[in-house]
Amino acid sequence: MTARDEILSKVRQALGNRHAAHSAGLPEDIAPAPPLAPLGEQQRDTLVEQFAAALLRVGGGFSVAASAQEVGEQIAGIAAQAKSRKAVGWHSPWFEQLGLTSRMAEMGVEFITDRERPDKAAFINDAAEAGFGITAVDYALADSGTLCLLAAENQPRTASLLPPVHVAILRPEQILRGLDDLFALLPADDRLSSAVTLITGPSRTADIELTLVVGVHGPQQLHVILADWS
Amino acid sequence: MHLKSENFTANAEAAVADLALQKRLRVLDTFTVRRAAAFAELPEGEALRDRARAIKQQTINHLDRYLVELERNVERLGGHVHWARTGDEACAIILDIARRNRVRTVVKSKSMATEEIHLNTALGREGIEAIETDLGEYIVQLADEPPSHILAPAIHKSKGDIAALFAEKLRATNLHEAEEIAAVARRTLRERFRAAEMGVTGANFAVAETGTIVLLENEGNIRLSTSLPRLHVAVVGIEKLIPRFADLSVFLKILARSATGQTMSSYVSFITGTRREGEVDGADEFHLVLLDNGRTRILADEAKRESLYCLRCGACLNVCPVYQKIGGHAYGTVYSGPIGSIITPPLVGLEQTKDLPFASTLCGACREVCPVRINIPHVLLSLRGDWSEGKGERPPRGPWLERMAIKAWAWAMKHPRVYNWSFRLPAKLQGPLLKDGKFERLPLAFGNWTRNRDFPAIAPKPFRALWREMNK
Repeated sequence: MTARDEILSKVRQALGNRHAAHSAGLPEDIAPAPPLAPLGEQQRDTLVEQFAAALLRVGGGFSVAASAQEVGEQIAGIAAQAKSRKAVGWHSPWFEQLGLTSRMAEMGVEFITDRERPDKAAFINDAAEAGFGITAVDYALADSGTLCLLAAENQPRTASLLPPVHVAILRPEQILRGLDDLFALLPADDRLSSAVTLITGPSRTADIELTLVVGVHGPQQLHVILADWS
Repeated sequence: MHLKSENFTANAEAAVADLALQKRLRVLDTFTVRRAAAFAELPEGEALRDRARAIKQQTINHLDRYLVELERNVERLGGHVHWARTGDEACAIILDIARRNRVRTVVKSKSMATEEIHLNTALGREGIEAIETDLGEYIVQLADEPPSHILAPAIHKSKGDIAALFAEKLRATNLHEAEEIAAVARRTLRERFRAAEMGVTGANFAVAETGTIVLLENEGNIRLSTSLPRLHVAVVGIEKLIPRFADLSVFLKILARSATGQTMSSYVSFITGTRREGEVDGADEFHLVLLDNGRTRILADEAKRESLYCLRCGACLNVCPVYQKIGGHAYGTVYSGPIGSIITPPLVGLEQTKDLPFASTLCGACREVCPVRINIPHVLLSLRGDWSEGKGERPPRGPWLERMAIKAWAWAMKHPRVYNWSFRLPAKLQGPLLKDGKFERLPLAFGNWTRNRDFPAIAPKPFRALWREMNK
């Protein structure tokens, strides 16, 4: 008997060889959670405030940009602080619209996405050398200050992981109430991203005497820019 | 320094006498305080725990069906599923993958399952270097010690110990602050992540519906282990399954809160298959190793089956009055604390672990904090029952007089009148034997009862009398 068959037969034996039909349906007590109440328009502002407060609590930075111009200025500030001429990030048409790409070129910062470096090793090399990484997030969760990033073409995983600073640009309509909203949106089928990452604050550890240290393997700084000029 | 559970009593005595360890263990309260605060701000917390337990119960009771569903969905996405009856079999599977891919360096994230199968030793024997990348695990690996806590593997070490260790093993001198130590680990391990051909992780959950592996962490080392190397191998106990993707919402709300008191861990990764067409990073090959290694034995025993609901949060360790005094190493097992005492005996055999079911005061603090409400005291009693019924080996026998006294006591318990009268005379006569109102040493064959603690005096007024007065 193969290991697979042996383990499965031991499991069935342990459970008393139930009839196959017995294990067909899910019992009522863990039926799916009830549908969520729709999000009211006036709830939006509260969500932004709630998200910002939760993000600050976990050691993230938060700022609002009231124009594309301001987004560029804030990124220029971060680049100056990081003292870096290299950044990696997502390839987003939205970044083009904001004029981010040209703005960084003006600052003398080389901005590299997977368009420029379609090879894994090459991209990782650049990401490891970059002073900061810029992503547009897919969703954010207000109650925990969490960002949700979906891996995809143009959305590399390591842009938010290898550089010491992660800058995420967020739009207000991407903010959800919490996990229940998120799981109502993420598809549980073939459309599910190969890697969904939830990020709540910078990288941290408490492995030495339970003393909090920020920035171990991942970014030491997480900064969220809310692009809000609707 | 690898302690054995056969020597539990001696290990525990040594741990209690180790003042430096006692000082380290005191910080565990931090976890407990934070956990309480995190649940206080979650009004639906209790209902979520019930729901989490119901989901786990459902999964375990239909485990065959969910295992097959998980296998199908992992394979549908091009992943490889391997089944391992034992730890050795799991190691052989991983070694085979490593050999076929000419792997020389493996980066590992914290995983109790790989501790359980002693993967690092197996890889090391074949000349493959396995590097622990979680800071705490990295520290204990450098020190050649086992982890002493599910969440904080190096909790038994002081900052000074760690600085000395880094000076000796990494030639990094003059480290004083935790930040400096962490920075050295970051620099050293970065190079290893980039060189490694294989990343090995465990899993907090495996979702049957989507074939997704879910991993929680704070440092980022798991994300690196799954994003950089070409191969990703996840070693997962067969009990880690959950049925549906959306069930994660329930577990993610309670797991980090139970473990560290965080609302969410810094990073949660849902890995579904390998990197796809057009994606620049992520693993190219994914292997899931499903591990039995005694779990079907726990499954077969209905009194102990609920031990398989465990999420490995570590909350029961932090509140356990025994763990708080002896730490993780004294147990001499991979899984320590209350949860370790209930899952280890069925996994490795009661002969070597006979002391573990007794290493508890049955106070119930563990059950109270368990996110899935595992009735740990109940399972401990069931294991004690197995022991006294001789399922382990020959049951331990106390002195004749003690056995007779217990028989007499059991008989008296069933006869309230006798019970009521039998303590009246001793209550009056005990005076000269007491010190500060307690028995410091019991006479005759009962001496063992007071070897490590005092025995309470018989109350001057019995409870029954107090009860009558209160209800007047």
